[in-house]
Amino acid sequence: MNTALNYDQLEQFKEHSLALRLLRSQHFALLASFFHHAFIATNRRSIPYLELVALLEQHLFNITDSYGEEKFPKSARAYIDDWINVKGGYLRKYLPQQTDEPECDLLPEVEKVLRWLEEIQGRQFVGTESRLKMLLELIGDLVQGTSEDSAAKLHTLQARKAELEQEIIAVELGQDSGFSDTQVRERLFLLANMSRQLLGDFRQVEANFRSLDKETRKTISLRGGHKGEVLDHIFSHQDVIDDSDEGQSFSAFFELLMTPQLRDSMRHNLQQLLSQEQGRILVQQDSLLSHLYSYLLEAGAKVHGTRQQITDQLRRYIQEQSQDNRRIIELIHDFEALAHQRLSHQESDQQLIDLKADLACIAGNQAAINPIFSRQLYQDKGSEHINSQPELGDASEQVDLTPLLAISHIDEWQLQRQISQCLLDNGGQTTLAQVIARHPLRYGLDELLTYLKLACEQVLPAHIDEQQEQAISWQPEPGLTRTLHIPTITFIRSR
Amino acid sequence: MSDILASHAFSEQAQLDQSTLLIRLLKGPVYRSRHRDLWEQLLRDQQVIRDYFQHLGLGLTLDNSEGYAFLAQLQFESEDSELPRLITRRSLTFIQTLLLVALRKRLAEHDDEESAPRLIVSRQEIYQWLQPYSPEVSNELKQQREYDALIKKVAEMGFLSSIANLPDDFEVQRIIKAFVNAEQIAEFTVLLTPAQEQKDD
Repeated sequence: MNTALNYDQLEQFKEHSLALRLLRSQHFALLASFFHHAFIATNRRSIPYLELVALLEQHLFNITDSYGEEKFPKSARAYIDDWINVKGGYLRKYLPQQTDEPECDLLPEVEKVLRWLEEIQGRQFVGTESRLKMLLELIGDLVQGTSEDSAAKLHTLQARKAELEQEIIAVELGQDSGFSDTQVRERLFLLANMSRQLLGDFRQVEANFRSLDKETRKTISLRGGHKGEVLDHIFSHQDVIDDSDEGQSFSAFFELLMTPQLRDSMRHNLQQLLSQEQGRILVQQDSLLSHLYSYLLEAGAKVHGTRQQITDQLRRYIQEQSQDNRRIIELIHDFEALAHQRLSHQESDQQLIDLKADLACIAGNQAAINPIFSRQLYQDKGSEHINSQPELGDASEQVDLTPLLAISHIDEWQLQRQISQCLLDNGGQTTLAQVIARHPLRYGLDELLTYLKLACEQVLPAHIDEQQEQAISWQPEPGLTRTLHIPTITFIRSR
Repeated sequence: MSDILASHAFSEQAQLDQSTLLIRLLKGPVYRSRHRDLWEQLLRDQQVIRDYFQHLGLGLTLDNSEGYAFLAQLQFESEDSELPRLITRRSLTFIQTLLLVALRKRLAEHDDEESAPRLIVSRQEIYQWLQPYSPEVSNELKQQREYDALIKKVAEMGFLSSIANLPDDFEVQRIIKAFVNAEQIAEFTVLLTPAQEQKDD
């Protein structure tokens, strides 16, 4: 695992690495911001091609809006196609099993770049204590997991038991103070970071499965000639994916993830953790943790599906096609060579063949039943006759169009004035309920919605507290009261 | 039991389903991905269906792993006892043959490389395969129109299918493996060989 950064290798790496190419690309900012926005921020594992084009269109629009059209002159589609098709582009485009709409996924190198960018953009603080503890625990785990000395194992377990007992006593005596604020913060950041890394690794795992598959197919097709050898190879490779370290680790991961107890306890614990004050602060800056389980599940399911598919296909390939494929390709080479020969003008002694002339036949797949008597005889359709005398409708019926034309108009300025007035009276702060109590709703829901619009668009500075509800009532007609429960909205005087 | 078709216990609905399947098969290949319920039924009643079509001189080719099934004219040992053909052979022009072989090659290469079962090829890619065989032309647009017509023809044969909203991408239908097989390619090669041609004359 000791990677020395050697000069020659790095020179090569500079040329060939996809990640560095992305960093050097003249569209670096566009690429990174777009990919991050589309894939990473929302944890999308893949996006349908056309949707991706639409997303980029929007993204480009936002950019050109402030930087000018000439910055990115090509169409969104052209850019996406560039990013897919350019040799070793950034996206993988493929047709999924179930649908007929191609999808695009990021290559793992790109994801790594994006994660790295995220990381160097400034982490809040670098905790060292929690990680040292993790290291110690890992070392302890390893020692215990690898040692065959049962006396020593017992000893460690005993020691841990003693430690636990001490902790129990401390809690019973009320001496346990839990983590300090710094410790909590540190662990929360560590948690967020590790989750992010884990999520970021799934694309790599999937890519590794795919390259294992590629390699196996290559060895098989290269060895195709020798039957005995192939068979040996087949049996040693039947489960090449599942038996790899990555395959085994992933199986264990996925199994664990799908355990109902684990799911429930993880959800529950996370919820509890994030509802505490420190947790709330963290979630405000970084919402990843609040979706952790579903993100993990989504990512895991995608990898699981891919692995399953690769395993099945590979097994089939090994069983059925390796020989056949090789032979077919050889035959095709012969055919192509001959076709070139027949078509090249140098061999003028032979007659050239016309490309459009009939050459061969292949089996059909439809029964050709086309009896002539099943066709209909000619029938005179008769000429269309159009009555050119329009009938006049009865004009006497009067339709009341007033409801259609009576579009209520809510005067936003009026509402703003009303809010300002209440702000003045109430010392710079007023809830929506107070405003409406003073100026009852005259136009009902429309008017209320306009207030909400003012608050949501921050036309007037407002605070919306979704934790608390307030009830707004109005009377559309005498004897009828409507009440709506909405989050508490407090207008604040602008400074 | 061999002839469920005539069984009295057969309900009308089942009869209808059975007939639908038989007719569909006569009209062209049945795919698992496109006709899910037909496919289940096909797997279940495979033997009955084979027996039924045998009377008509047709054989059923069914590939469960690739998910397609189609009917083919049965071959008989003696050449004289040829039945009137129910399923006619399709004649191919030279350029059509080239494209089919190119598609088959691409599919074989694809299978040698990776496990994604579905293969997309782009119009441009197809142009590139065909170009080396075509005479130099000054009007490339006209040539591309000819290629497009060719692509359309091959799509009608059922070896390429277009993808919704993406006019320049096509999926290679894996059924091509059954039609452009080793034997068939060898036959193409023989047809191209000039000596053979002269002997035929």
